[in-house]
Amino acid sequence: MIRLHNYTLSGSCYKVRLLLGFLEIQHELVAVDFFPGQEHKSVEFSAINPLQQIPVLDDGNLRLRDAQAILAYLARRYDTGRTWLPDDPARFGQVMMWLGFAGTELMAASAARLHDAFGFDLDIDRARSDAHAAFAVLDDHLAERQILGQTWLVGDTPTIADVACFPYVALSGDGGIGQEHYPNLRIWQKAFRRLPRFDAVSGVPEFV
Amino acid sequence: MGAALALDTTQATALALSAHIPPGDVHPAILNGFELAVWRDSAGQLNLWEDRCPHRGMRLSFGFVRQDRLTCLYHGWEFGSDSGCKRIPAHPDLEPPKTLCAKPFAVAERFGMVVLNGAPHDDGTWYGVRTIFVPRPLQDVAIPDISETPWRTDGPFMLGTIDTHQVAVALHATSDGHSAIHVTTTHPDMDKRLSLARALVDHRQAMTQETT
Ligand SMILES: N[C@@H](CCC(=O)N[C@@H](CS)C(=O)NCC(=O)O)C(=O)O
Ligand code: FES
Repeated sequence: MIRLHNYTLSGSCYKVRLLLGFLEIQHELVAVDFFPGQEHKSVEFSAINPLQQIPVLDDGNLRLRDAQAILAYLARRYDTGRTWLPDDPARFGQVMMWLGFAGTELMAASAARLHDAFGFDLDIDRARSDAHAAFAVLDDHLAERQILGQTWLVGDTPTIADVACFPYVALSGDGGIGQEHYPNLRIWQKAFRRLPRFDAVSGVPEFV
Repeated sequence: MGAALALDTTQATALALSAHIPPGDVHPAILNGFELAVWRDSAGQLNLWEDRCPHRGMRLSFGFVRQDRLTCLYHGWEFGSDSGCKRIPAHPDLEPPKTLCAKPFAVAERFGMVVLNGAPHDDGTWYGVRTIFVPRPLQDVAIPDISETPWRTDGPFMLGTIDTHQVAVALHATSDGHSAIHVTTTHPDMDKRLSLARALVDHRQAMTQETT
């Protein structure tokens, strides 16, 4: 049985839960008391992930950390239709490019949310302006995609690139980051929320 | 905040691209700090309301559209396109009094844009290109250099030419010293619209760098 070391309000864990849902993969959630318990900093959890971060996924003897790596693994291993992580080299490369973006530049939106919603001590102005810069990159890309009549970040079906980018965009209001300036990003999020088996979370409503 | 501000309803102002408000969607728009909700019912009928639910003031743009109604995300009040409240889930048997309504504004579509106080007009087929936001007050916004002929003014629009096709530009002030630049065209060629969209990103870049 697949086990996800999970905290419900974590956007990074949400990435993984979304794909588990889309691919209808049976799994077990192992609750990590990230806040206020700081369980990810415990000695026990450090043995699970020395980086002291969630999510972590166990599938048999395989243990993976990093949401993007987990998404890539799950798609390769369980997506029999091979659409969520395409084989075509160009599309595969584009998906990896947006996964990298989701794990770095876009994490500024996560930082802003950790500050506002969980009281983390960090440079909030910097986090918000970096998040806006990342959102503009995404909105510019989606504007071009929408001119071409396309909905998704890569190709003509949703991929793990969309899954990896969605949570911290959708949760940005929790970090005081408004989306009034990103019409293309808003249209993409609505399309994502309308996908079959989309899983809502606190701050990202089910109805769209 | 929003309630204290008044909206200038004497002028026609383009607020969004028609293409950015698909049927069954609601989106926010801000004009001079005033928050608006733009939505289309599932048949495509356009509505422009103040972005505040008359119940507890929730932003209606966070809500969702079903058929011809906009539902508030907070307690599920449903509003019809006449802006009246049609249903209150907490009191399903109650017919909501006529006084419970959202605040509507006159809206029409022109040159592929959503226009507050606009006059309806059949313009043929217009395509959305892009809305960009720049950190500048309206009077300091430069018009993007995308027309092959001098701009001609038509109400809130500037009309120009690209390869014998038309291009329209309209501006509006949003909030906190930012402005929006909306661009549409009748150009049927997708690649041309892509290169226009890229030119607008360059334009935003230039206007942002000169400000900071
Ligand atoms: N690169 C990791 C980062 C995940 C991440 O930032 N997780 C947060 C919770 S949402 C966390 O565990 N933060 C604790 C820390 O970084 O100290 C991934 O993408 O999975
Ligand atoms: S605030 Fe809109 S229904 Fe209550």
